[in-house]
Amino acid sequence: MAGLSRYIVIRASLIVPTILILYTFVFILLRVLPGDPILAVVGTRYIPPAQLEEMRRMAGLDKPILVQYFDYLLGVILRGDFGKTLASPVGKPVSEYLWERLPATIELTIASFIVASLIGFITGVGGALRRGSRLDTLIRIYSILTYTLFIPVLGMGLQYLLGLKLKLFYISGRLSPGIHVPKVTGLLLLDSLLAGDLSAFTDALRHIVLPSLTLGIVLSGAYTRLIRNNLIEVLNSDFIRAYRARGIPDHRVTMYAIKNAFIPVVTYMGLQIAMLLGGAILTETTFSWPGLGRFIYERIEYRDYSSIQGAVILFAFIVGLMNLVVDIMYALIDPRVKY
Amino acid sequence: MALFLSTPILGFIRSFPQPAKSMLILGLAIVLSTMSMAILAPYVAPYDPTSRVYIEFQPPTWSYLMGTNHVGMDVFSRIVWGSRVVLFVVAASAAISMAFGVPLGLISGYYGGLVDRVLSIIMDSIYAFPSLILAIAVAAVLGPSPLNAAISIAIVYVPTYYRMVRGETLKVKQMPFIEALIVLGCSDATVFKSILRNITQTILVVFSLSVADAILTEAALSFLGLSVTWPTPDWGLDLRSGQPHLLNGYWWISMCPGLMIIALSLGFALIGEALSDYFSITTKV
Amino acid sequence: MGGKSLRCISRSLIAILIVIVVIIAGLAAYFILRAPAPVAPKPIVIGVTDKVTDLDPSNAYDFFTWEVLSNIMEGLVRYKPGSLDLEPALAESWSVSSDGMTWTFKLREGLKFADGTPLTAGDVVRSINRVMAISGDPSWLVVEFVDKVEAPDNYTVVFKLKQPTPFFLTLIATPPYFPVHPAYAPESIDSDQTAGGAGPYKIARFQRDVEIVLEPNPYYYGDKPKSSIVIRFYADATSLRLAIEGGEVDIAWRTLRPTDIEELSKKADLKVIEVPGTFIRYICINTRMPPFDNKLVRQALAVAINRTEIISIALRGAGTPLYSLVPIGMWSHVDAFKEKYGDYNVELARNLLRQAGYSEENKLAVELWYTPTHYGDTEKDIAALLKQQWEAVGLIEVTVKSAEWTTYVSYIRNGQLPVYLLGWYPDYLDPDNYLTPFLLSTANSWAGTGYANETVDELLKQASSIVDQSKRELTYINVQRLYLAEDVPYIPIFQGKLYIVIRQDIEGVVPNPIMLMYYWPIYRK
Repeated sequence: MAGLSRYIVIRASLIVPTILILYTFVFILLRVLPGDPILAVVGTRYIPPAQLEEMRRMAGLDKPILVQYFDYLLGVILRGDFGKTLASPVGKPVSEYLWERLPATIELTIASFIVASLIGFITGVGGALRRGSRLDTLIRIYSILTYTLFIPVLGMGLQYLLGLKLKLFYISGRLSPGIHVPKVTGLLLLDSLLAGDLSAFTDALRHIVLPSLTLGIVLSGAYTRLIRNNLIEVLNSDFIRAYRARGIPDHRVTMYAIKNAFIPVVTYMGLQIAMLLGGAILTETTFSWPGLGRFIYERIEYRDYSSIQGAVILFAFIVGLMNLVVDIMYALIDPRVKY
Repeated sequence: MALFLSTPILGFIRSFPQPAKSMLILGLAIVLSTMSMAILAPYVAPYDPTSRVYIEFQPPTWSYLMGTNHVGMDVFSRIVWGSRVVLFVVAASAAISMAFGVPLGLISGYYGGLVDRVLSIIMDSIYAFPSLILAIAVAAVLGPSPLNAAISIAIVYVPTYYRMVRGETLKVKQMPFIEALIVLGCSDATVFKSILRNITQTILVVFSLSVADAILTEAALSFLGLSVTWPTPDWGLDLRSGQPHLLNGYWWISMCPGLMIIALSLGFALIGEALSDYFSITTKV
Repeated sequence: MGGKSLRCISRSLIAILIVIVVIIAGLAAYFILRAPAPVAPKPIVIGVTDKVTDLDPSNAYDFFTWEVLSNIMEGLVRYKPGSLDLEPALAESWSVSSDGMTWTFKLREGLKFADGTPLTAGDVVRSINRVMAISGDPSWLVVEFVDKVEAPDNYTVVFKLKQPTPFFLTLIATPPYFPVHPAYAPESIDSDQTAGGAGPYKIARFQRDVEIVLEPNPYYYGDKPKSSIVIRFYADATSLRLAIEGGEVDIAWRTLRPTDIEELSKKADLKVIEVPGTFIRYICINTRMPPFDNKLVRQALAVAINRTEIISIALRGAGTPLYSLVPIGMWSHVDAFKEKYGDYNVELARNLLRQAGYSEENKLAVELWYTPTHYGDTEKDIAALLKQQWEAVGLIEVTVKSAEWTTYVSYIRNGQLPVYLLGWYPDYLDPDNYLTPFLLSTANSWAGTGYANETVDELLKQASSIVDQSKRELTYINVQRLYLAEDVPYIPIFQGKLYIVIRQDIEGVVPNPIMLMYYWPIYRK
């Protein structure tokens, strides 16, 4: 087991350079962009230069670049302090925003993941078991089609049909204004159930259906293909043939095959969660979903250095963490990985 | 002359098994017709795409095949001209990505060592970062323009080519004939050429599939306003500008460009799928 | 044998999965269809897509936050609902010294904050000193004009100004001059502070970007508000539109799209109120960048635009053609451009350009810039129409470019853009605020046009310090006619209109030219 702990430590330590590289990249990018948070807020108003200088000083923008770089980085690492927002509204701790927006993205990710897995599983298994048939071809076309569905198009289509024409679901936001859910985890569906508030739960559900359906459908194609291909390979493999040769009933064999095919797929899906987190930005924009992706995009407009840097660091950290977890699972399951 | 060229190509296509053959044909049909639409744009488009030619919100009719948008421009003409931007951005970004990703992957896979480890970490960081946000950031810095959009998309896909080429190089490196070449004292360049020849199939498949993806990324960038500027026709931009009018029932303004985006991406994806079937390259875990 | 069992397994497998999905779908449908229809709450609900930035007048500088502040706080004077006239508010009377540099205000007696804390002259002084110390965004409205403020006794406030300022009253009416509750942090921006001021309402609950609940202030000295107000923040115009259509909100304000307004005005249960706006939209021309340093070129561009077409197509009618920087309805306004050039005149434009040396072979190349989101998504359409109109002259070639807001502003301030679209929302309602920031060479660097004319500088400085309004009016009219329309550093296009959509049973909504809604007269029939 010493090998495993060493493996974990090595893989974990890779998170650090990743975060550093991304932070540096974003830091430079932001400083290269024309304008700064003061200018973003002031815009075209006449503000005397003396006042502009003062505003810059208060935002800490007069310090030398390297000082700003390390100040922020060390602040996050040592104190968990993600700084304060530099624009509209000014002075709010960034961490407040992060802890608010992150659960929104996570909730959307999980919901989409569930949708994608369900659809992927049904179609993937169905296609593999009926390999070569018309159904299989249809399923393969489905998997390709979903790969190319542009999220805003699918999203807008669903918004129009299910949201506007049939009025079944809400087309934007997470919760209708006026509904309050005491915050426990930040995941509205969970928190509303914990608070026993069924109408809030329904409201949150009606808001999350369309975006998670959109993102879920788009992602399901990849899962369909994965499951189908893996299952086909397993079904053709030697040990399955051996089972059949031993006279084990077919349905037991198939169940066993599915189980075996599914495990590596699950770990791959775990990796996908990290990608889902990032890919959600289009969905968040189309549905005005207040998540982390959209937060970064909005804050770029304000050149809110602290918010963007903080969000990127948090994001890189979570992605790194997820990759680590998946790597460990791989190590445990796949005997080919040495540790 | 054209017949002479087409026979081997036709033969190649015919050698495909079903259903790959149908997918290939459908995909080629979509891609080639879009490309010809782009090349022949001045002749195919009935009107000037950036001028107001008729009343606003005209539904599709025979003279305005896809209707007019909220300012009175002909949607069909905008689709035709818009294909140029999409194809340009995608072609440029694919070229740039491959130009960087393939050689770097080769070097990394072949030499290994410190170079490999450093490159891998950098590529992994880029790969892990949400591609769209990365593209947005780069495009925001460079300013909105099709070339800058191409550059930012290229950056996003370099790791894809890099990883795949590196993986395949590692595999191919072990093969006896490569070892033979090394023993015979062939230069590195010769070895590289040999490796490349063996991984061409994979590169081709990855190329089609990542072009399909790049089309969506380009659409996303222009949807977010980071590619061309209005009133230049572009499918993603038109999709965005038509969005508020969907509510009032004017679906053709946004849905026509939207469906074109999906169709073109589908075309490339079908080709990629068909090729991967043919070369028996399956994506597996 | 194998095939048959496979089919059995796959069939049963799929059957199980289908059953699971059906159960989930059934549960979901049960919950969804069971949801009770939204009952209209008793307070009046206002839906907006704007956000509240800082609930602190020392830093808030956007229109909607100013509106909220104007309802939970009050200044020494305020605008009469529906007009541009000022009336006494917290102050019951005031006087000016003969040199125009000292203003004395007498406060009403018995003023209290929303929690009963008494409000005296000391609070006014404290609040204003606070704004000056914090140096927030709008602090220049105080710092540029006020040298010192003192409270010789509990009911008297004395302002000593830096120079004579005839429009000081319009400044006093703006939020940076509002007295704030002592709970406000004295040295820093207090964005989420809900203690408010001494206005008709107090904040009962504030959830940033979700909603604000306002209740009548029991200690308010004047007419009590007729109803509680709930302001709900919607993510985008489409959701707001759905909300007003579906009865979720009673009033939809800031900001629906022009196409939505058109559609909603046809509904029987809604009424649309038009608000004449005081915000203007115009084209800036960089007078230092060739070939735009040539006056003939600028004049030609001004003459070749068809304002009516732009308003009807790009804005669906939500604007009025504007022929001067000073808006219609403000004293000293004259249709300077129309008087000088007539309206849309392509021939004249052609002549001017030929005079400047341009021809069909040698066309004028114009780079027209706009910013795609800051002013709404109609910007790109305005730019596209301008391109078409200018190119219709036959001697101009236009390239349209855009940059996102902060980049745009940065380029403008550095004087890098040749021709670009901007908008202006007034800080205070006086012609000075529409002319000085644009034409005074020491104050217009933000606009990037580089316009500098000594005579104009003199005239504007004079007008901003003399007290006689008729003399000021004459000066401003001259500036518009002789310099603005002649030198054309800016081309005014239109003056905006705002719309409020309300349910039929809501009364008391008065369109205010200052574009801020007062909530206290609103009630439900």
